[in-house]
Amino acid sequence: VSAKVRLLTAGALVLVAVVAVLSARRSAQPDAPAPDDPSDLPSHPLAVDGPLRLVHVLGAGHMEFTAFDLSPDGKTLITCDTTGDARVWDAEAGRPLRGFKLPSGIPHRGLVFRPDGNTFVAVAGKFRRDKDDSDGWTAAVYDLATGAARSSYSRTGPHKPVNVVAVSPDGKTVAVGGYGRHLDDRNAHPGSVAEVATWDADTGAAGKVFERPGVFVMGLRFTGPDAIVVMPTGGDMTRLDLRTDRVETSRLSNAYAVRPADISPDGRAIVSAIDVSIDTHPTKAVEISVHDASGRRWVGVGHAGANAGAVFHPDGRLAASSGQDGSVILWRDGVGEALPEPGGGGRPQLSADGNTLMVGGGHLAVWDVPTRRLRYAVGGHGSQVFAVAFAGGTLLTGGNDGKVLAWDVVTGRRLGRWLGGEPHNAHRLSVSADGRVAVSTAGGVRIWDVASGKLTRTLDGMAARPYDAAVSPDGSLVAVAGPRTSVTLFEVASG
Amino acid sequence: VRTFDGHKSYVRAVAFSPDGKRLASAAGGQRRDERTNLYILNDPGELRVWDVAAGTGGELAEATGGPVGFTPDGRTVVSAAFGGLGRWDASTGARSRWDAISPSVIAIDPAGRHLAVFGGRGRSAVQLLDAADGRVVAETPVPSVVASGDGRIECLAFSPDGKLLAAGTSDRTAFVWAVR
Repeated sequence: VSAKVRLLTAGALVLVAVVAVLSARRSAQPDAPAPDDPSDLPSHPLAVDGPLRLVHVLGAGHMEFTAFDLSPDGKTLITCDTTGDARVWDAEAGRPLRGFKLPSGIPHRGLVFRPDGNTFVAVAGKFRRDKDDSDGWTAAVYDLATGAARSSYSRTGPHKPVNVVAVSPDGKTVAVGGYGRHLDDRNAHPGSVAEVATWDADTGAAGKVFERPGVFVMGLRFTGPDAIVVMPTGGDMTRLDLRTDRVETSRLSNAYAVRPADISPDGRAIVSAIDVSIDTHPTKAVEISVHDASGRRWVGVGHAGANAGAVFHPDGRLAASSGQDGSVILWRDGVGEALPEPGGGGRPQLSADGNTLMVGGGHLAVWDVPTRRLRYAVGGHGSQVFAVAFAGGTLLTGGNDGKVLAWDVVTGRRLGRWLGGEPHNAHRLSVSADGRVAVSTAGGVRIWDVASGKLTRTLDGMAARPYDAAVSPDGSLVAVAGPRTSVTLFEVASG
Repeated sequence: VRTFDGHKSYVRAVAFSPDGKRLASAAGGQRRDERTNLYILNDPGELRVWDVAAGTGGELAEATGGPVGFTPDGRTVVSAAFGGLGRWDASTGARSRWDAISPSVIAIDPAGRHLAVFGGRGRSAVQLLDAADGRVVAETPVPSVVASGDGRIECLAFSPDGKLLAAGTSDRTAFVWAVR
């Protein structure tokens, strides 16, 4: 802060207002760096001479969140993304604290805290691009403070872990579930073998390997220090006893799910997300269902598109599911409650106490479950940022990834809300002078209410792709560059 | 509400004047010929300024469909065309300035002091130009935060008070600079 004050006094740099606000925030929280502070980023050239001074780097380095977990005390969040890095966050504020490069440098798709809260387990597969199969996987116990690996365990050969890692309640045993031999994930034939391997988290010593018929392991849960419940494909439930090596498999449902689903805390029920086609509807939907030994407990339909994920709440009755369309639903006995803010389109995860719901993917959204309130969303675009526009104190960015994101200009933080619930590439953005109306252009033109983030109108009926659109200063008219050699004027309200 | 016709090539960019009464459009540049299905790289087009209420308009200058905008006083149209950054009187079409740079992206400071540009032959920095005389008052390289990125700026925008400049990049990242 003092360095900044000196610089300000010298008048050497910058817009006084922004730095003053940032400095005030920093002095209020002396130990807390501003979110996405460039100094938090590795090897970032901070100093820019002259009258342009970099104040925010937004969404840097994030591609897609592949794995994440909340510490047992709820204070720390760890994320892995497709850059292969791990990042530690203040879980209450959604603020990045530090990052480390995990040794393999490849995306980790399984991540879980150990009960001590000081170490976590992450697992990554070594994919070989020249072959259909993978070259095995490596799992390691990492120190939360330093990122150093304390112990590690690898399987070589065609063994590919699929998102599934669990730690025993005493923290000593790690189980990793994935594809086993005869791997061919594009052609899921019945001769495949699903595999669960265990190892000692303190020493890295190999434990046991269980193979079961099935394509891959979709869920894993320890129901005691020596008991694991495994869901190999979707409908099967297998109980493994690590002490006696006893294996029991029962079939709960004939449904085949393609995304990770979950096992209930008591190990008796499974929740699955199964793609279904609705004949009368052009898009696919997802069926979320809970099965136990006595049959189907409930089923509900939600999420447009395919490839949803579902998890149990620790109370065993509530479940959360998320779809690729960004929709997030909380289910109680088959009755769904859609959350108003979108998630990242990837997998859902609930904290051990059930109070925090995280949905990762293109970004990571974090909710308070009791109040259904979105605490924050982190991450940025997964593609080129083709458009930027200011709407008052909010910066809108449009990407080729189907997102229009909103950022707080003062703090540099992503706002949970953004424009649009469904994917819409934005190659150009225009905001009215009063900051109320935004227009985005890519394949079509969309008109948005900035305050609510809601879509007001869609102008997709043009014969040719419009290149650009501008909104008039008062927000009443939209001029579209197109179709072809024309400029077309629309009224925002009526058309 | 209405259609403005008169461009010979495809319209690539549109901008309202600050008072909302006029509309500038730039046509030309790359387009696909629908008959032959071939790409035409430098289809000649033009800059036009339209009266929004009356629906009339006239040609201001030849153009190549580059980015377009009005200066805050509404008197001047700025656009990149034919290897240069030009400024034309919005009523008479008289060219008031011509800088031999051909940025792919421009932004006009609503406070009227600066132009921000990026791109053009061999240029890999964001430049802040003095709006009056075209002098480069600041230049900053694109911060590299993604190892594999090519650090290309895709878009630029000033905040309404002209004190912040935002840029979106090909590296999945956006930047915000404070402008002195």
